[in-house]
Amino acid sequence: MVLSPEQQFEEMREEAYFCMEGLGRLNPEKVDFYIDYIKFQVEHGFYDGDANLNILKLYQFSPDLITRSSIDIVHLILVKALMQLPKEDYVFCRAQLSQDMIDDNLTKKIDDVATLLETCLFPKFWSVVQEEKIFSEMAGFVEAARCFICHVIQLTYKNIEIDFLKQLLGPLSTDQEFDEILERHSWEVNGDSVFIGHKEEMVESKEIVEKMPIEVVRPLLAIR
Amino acid sequence: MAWTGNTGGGQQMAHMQMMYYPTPAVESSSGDEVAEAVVNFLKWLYHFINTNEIYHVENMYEDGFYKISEFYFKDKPWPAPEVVQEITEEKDEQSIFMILYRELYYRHIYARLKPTLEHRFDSYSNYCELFAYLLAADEPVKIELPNKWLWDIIDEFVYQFQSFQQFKSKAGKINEEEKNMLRDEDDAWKVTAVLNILIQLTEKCNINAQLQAIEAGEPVTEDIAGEFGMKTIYTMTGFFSLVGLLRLYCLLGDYHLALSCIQHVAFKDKDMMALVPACQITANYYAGFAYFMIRKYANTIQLYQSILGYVQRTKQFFQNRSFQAEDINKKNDQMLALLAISSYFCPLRLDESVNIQIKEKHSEKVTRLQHGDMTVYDELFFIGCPKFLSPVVSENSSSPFGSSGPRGLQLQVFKAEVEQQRLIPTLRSFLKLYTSIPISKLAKFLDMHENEVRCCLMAFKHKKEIAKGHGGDQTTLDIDFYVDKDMIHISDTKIARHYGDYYVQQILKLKESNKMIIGAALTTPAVAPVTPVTM
Repeated sequence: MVLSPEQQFEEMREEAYFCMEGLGRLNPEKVDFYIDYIKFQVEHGFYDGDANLNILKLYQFSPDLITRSSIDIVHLILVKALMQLPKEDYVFCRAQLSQDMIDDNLTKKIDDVATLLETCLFPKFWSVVQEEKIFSEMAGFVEAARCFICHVIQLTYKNIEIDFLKQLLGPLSTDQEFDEILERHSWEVNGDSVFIGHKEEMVESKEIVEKMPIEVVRPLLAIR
Repeated sequence: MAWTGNTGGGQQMAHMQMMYYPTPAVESSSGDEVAEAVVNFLKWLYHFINTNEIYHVENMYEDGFYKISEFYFKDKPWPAPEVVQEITEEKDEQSIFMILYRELYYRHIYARLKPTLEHRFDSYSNYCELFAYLLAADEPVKIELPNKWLWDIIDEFVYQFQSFQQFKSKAGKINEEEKNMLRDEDDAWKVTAVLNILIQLTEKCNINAQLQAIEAGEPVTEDIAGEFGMKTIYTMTGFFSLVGLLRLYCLLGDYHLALSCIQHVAFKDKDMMALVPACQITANYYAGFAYFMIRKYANTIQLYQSILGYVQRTKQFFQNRSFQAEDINKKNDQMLALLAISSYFCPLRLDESVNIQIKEKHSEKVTRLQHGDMTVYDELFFIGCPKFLSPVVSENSSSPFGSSGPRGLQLQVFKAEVEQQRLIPTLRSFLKLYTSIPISKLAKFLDMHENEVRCCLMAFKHKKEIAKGHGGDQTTLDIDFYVDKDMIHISDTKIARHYGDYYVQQILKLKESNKMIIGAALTTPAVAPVTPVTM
């Protein structure tokens, strides 16, 4: 019986979960399983952050596992983690890298891309990302990036100019794609701008009044 | 009071409190002689541990051990374990009392003297014996120990591992003989073994399941905790091991596992960690540090504020324990440094007392932060960060303080965030001045292209959202805004002047002054009694 990719992923996820119980996660003999697992994730567009991060942990604890091709796995792990923005997966991974891994050219490139995303320099992000194969070959990368970009737009804008919005969303193959994105987020076109959402309550005049919690006042109550 | 073998009577108890206080007449003897007070202490401790009189054990541990160390063993070790075995007439050198005594013996050496490599190996074997005693038992052990002692065991265990890694990484200072010993005994202090022990201690009592039940407000039954978890010694050791793991994972740069350790821990005043102040401080520091590294500054600020307040309130209880007070002061300073950075990236209202402390300790650095000086970040980070470790230390490893050592690697992660935050404070200071401003005008002020400004505005929002963490009701001092095409609309938040904190401080000060005046009046009979100033 041939399992669908979803079913295969479920099986691998369960196996990974049991392998990583307690001290089991440091067992170096399982590293090949985790490597196959992430390759599967990359190919079919699934994600298991815990298992991927565990590969980095194994490299940290058992450096003799590191071969010449290990750095490629590290790159896959980093890009997959980057796709989870605004979640903190990328920082978790970044904190587990050795100096050799950091000094690698492609790692530096991935790090630059991460910075571009975190500083929201989205137009530049799209042009840099086209320079490296790893991004174009990663299933779901473009969608994940757009998801993050739309999240930030949602936080910031009430109305945004259409031209600028298109710049932020990166190369769109058809107008239909653009309309689909608008529909997914319930954004409406309004002449030359797009209405994102009402934001006025964010900037209402507020006065912050002092609160005195009881622990602070308690010592006073004891004074006769 | 000398040991007579007779343990009845409250009168003996009262005298016992006195007997191990240093008596000037008995000199600290050299050679094989053990002072009488020490002999008594050991005999009583042996007795109480074997009869499980936990209240007395606690007294002797917290008070007696420290006082005797101060007076008799300031710069030399406690009597050798073999000698103690003779004194207490304990036949079994692997009895739990001897294991516990050896733990104290080595802990003292690490604290006051310099441990040799042999000490390190022997101490490790002793820890293995101790944990095997707890873990390998078929049914829960009968002994009970005070919580403070259990915490100190776990804390010291992690500390000695840290010390061992640091020792190994100082390649230049290890002589040939030591190098050979290291090669022969390569089982001792392995990181996997240390982790394994801590993990097993947490699993033995199902501490995570217990914490989840407590979180949900349900009672902890034997179904949840298991047979071992129903005994305090296992539950508390399990809980302290959880904090030990939190610390160890932070030291190894694994913030994901560090935070997963405490996912069910409530960090409230009344929970398990409040039983031992040192544990509470350690747990809050490392949890706050993990949040700091993943940029959730609001969480860090919340944890550090509450623990710093706690330390202020309980300061007087630590005064008589000099080495503990030192430890706590160090953590205090570390947290202040990290708070300085956190509140710069995520302006939240800080308690007045905390603000004052930061000003006292780091005012020059805070000013430099506000002026955009990039070098001050390194300084503050080095003050605030823990002593990072690498799990594998070989003879060729780089120095722990070098730029590619464990600390250097974490600094690089932090500097990436510093770089990403670079333009935000300037943006914030301009936006504060307006309730609305066109993007083109702001771009002129900042000397940037309009699109760059647009991106910077989005980055501000993105970073702010991340820093929020779990939310909570902390008062933000930060502005908020939204963009409507080419116009920025900014919030107009007014903060009412906070008088309360200041009043409370002054009232308490006045109360103290009154106390002093009355006290002075009572001890100088010639002076007429002073009527206290009533409030």
